[in-house]
Amino acid sequence: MTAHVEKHGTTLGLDHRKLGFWTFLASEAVFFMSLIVVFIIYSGRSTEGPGQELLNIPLTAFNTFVLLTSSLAMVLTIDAARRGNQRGLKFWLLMTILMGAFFVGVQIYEYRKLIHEGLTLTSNLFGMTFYTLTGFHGAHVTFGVLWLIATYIKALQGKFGPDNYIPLDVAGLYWHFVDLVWVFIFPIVYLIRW
Amino acid sequence: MAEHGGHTPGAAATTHGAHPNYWLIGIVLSVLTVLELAVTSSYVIELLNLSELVTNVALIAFALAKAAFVVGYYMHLKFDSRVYTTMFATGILFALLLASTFMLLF
Repeated sequence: MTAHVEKHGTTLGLDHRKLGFWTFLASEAVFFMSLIVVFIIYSGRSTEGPGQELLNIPLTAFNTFVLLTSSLAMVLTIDAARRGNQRGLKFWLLMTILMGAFFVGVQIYEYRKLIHEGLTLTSNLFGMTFYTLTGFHGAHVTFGVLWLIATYIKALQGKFGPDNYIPLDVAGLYWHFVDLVWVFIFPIVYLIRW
Repeated sequence: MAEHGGHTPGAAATTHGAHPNYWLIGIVLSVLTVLELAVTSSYVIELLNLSELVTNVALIAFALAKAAFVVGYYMHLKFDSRVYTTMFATGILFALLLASTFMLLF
């Protein structure tokens, strides 16, 4: 094959970008698990100050639905690229970006409201673990949105198609991973009473 | 099997050979989210006489089911090379070991 083809291969016969990214996601899983466990251990030990009762479950449930739908949009983006559907690719990628930005916006609104009601990073153990866990997740989503915007610019230049969609696939893996983490954060932080 | 579109023909994995019904999976994920909310609503808890333990176990079960759908179908691990699965599963295993250790210590 061409030098360009061999450039991305590994001795396992896999694309090194995907293999490397799965390795990165494995380390991210350890990182988020440590934050989740710290939340479980410490959030229930807060005896004073505001706690879980301040959290807006209906709003966050809607935000969860938005993030899950953004994952659907992302997978439809990759599917469109694989089929050579440039219009579909651009449309679904833009939808993913908009939904991701909406998720971050709602999280900022939630933080402002909680801080106004007295729950801050230094209020108590619940506040500290809540903001650390959801904050790191929010930072990941924000980075994901920026990555997808950069990818969208490349998509506008027609750089993705049936023969070159692995960069989209890798961005998709990241996006699905932040969705995956939220799948656990939502029930653990918002629904289960510790 | 070839990894189509990734510049690695001759690769030992199929990335997107399969065509899962992504819309159906999206609906399943939404339904599971609704079920999560349902089991925490006071109406359903009283109607089914759910204990806190049952509610919490149901919530974790729904989350695990959602995670399996996301990883298997959206992230394509169900159709991709087992090497990717092994790589990710190793991380999950370390994460679970870490969680168990923290739980035991604290």
